[in-house]
Amino acid sequence: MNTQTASCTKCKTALPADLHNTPDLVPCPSCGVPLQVFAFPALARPPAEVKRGEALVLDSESSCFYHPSKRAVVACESCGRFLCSLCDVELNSRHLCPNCLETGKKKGKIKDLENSRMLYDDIALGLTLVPMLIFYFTCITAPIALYIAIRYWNAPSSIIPRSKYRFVVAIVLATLQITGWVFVIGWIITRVTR
Amino acid sequence: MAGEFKRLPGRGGALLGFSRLWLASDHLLLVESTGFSESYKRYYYRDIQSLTLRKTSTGLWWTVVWGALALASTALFEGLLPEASPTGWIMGGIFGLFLLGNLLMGPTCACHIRTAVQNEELAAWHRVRTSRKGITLLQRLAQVAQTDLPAEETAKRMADIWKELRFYNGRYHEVLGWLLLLDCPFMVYHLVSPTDHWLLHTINAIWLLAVIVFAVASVRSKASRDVSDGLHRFAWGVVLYLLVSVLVGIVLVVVLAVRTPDFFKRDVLSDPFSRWLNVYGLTVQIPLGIAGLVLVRRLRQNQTAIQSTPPDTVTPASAAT
Repeated sequence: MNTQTASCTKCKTALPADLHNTPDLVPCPSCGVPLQVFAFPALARPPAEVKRGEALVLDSESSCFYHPSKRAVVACESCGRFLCSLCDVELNSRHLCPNCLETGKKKGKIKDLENSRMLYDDIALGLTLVPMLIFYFTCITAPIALYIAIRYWNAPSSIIPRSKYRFVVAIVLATLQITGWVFVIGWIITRVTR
Repeated sequence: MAGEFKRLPGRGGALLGFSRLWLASDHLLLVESTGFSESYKRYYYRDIQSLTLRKTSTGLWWTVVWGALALASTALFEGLLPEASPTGWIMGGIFGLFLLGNLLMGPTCACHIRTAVQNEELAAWHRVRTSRKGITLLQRLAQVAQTDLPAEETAKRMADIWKELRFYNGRYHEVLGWLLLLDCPFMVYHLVSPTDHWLLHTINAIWLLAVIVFAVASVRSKASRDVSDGLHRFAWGVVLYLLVSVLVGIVLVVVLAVRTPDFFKRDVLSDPFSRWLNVYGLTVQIPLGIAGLVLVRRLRQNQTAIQSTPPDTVTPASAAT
């Protein structure tokens, strides 16, 4: 029988099972703070068994690419190398070797392993909006914002739903700022040359 | 289902960013945004062991802070400034609004998610009411993901729940519907006794601003939430109505101003064109507003029906035996 149980997040005391899934907040038996625990079946599930690669018994059996003495149980779905159960990494029902997993993570090929993204649309918009407080800076920031907006228009943005309106606003504002500066410079040149 | 996300209620703020929670087909996604970049953490439904809500006193402290600021600013300004100055009351009112907002949002909490390898606080859920709403939605998916059914059956059940999940309660659409209807008495009043008063113009301007804000919010809600097609059409209908009204208004004003030079000196509200605009507004706003409210009501009825269906509850105690 599994002995895992939820604990109070303040005093770390283990909470008895009758305090799980209560309809309302209940006081912690130890520190008295009101809390509510939503427990799931995984709490009672025994820890996953440690995988051990099986040793080769027959010469005709395929061996693991990384552990030649272990029996292969699956092939990597990315590179095709034979893997023992020790090297088999399962990710969303796909079997991968640690090497492909690492490469996929580095190159951003495996979406589920991505843990950060740059938001170029926010950068472009920020570069057009923030310098407007001290508008002299817009002569430098507007071309940069326009470049970022065009250069990264097709770059992957956030993984959650997001429209391109920030890029559009940034392009419009940057264009207006550049146009304004062109007029100002043109006006100054004509005044000087007269 | 891959690639789809549904936003959960709640948003946690920090000094340099904020965090939000999203439901995906097989995991809960925590998005921490710094403004120019986002970082992600995934909690797979099959791995979630428990969620713990702990009531905190933060909300109480904010109530004390806002209340004290409201009282202090009113008293201070009233004592320092001449009697006729409304500054103290305005400052007090602003702090009072913060106080009211804090009270309306309900008690605060700290919500922790626990898996076999981590126990982390979810900053996005810091109000008891919001956290419970989010957990109710998450619970159904997590319960099914952790059943001992065959993989195909689990996937099918998850897909069914995913389709049913509609947790946007139509708040923006409801406000939009009420705004459309609440304007009607004013329009009738204009028709019956046209009076050109600054207060009416101010109310009209505020109303228009509010309608624009809520129409944009309602249209945008389609991108991140599960809004029914009917409600989405209603939001776009309001946007279309606003665009047509503004365009018609501009064109008519320009035409009339060109034809009659003293147009702007006249009482605009008593002009026949203004009356026709009011009639047009009434004929569109009443059915549109009612339709919006009916659709919101229907959405909420569906949600109640779905949420009242109990998930296949397996308590740790029963699963262990």
